[in-house]
Amino acid sequence: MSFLKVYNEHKDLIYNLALQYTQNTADAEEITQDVFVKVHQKIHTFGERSELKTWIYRITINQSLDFLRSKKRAKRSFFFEAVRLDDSLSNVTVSDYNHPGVLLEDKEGMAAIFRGINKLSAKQKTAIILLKIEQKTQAETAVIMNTSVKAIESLYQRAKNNLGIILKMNEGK
Amino acid sequence: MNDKESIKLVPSTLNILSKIKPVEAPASLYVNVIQKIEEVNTKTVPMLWIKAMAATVLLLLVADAAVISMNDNIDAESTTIGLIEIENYQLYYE
Repeated sequence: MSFLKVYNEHKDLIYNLALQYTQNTADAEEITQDVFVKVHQKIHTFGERSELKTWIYRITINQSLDFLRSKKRAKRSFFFEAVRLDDSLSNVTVSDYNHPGVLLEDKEGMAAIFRGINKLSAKQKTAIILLKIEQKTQAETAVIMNTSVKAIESLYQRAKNNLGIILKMNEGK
Repeated sequence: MNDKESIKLVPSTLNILSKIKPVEAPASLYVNVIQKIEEVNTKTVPMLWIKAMAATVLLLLVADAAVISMNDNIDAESTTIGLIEIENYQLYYE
């Protein structure tokens, strides 16, 4: 399988999945590049197309989560640095919600939901993204997340419950 | 609204997520991907080089150990000879 073929078949999948995690085009582009570097390194080890697709899903999810973790760490260290230099900087909030797949009229509501989703655990967030945005079945989600359908069911239930509580708390703010 | 009511509203809230439309990856992405792959390839040391370096270091260590053990034998011999030869304990001749 040539790299160009793999690129053309999966570029939108990777870019969109990264967008669901970051809600930001620049970040999604960076993640997509990193995923393709890994794909390029391991492309010869994959025989079946379905095997490759599942692996690409997994690697994109892991890359997106790693990216968000490192971004969070960088923000935190910036925060401490800012506090040390000037206390007023600690009130700065960065609004970088930039999802091209969301219509302008839905943007505000969608940003509020994503604020809640972003507070969920990595597994719960992944379950919601795969089931509700990527429209995967529970069986497909289970394969991608390397778990059972039952585990996905309970994970999704917990995610819904937690999201309800988070959204209610955010409402009060 | 209590917690239970807000949890009941979540499924309808989550259905809004299906409104998100898939977008096309930017056209410039391929060039950037190839650039990044080349960058990574130039930064990464090939496996053959790593193996060659490891073999060289190992060879040097073995050679070093051999030389040291040979020197030890020579030192031991010369020390014995030296001990036999030195019979004069006076520091200076008067």
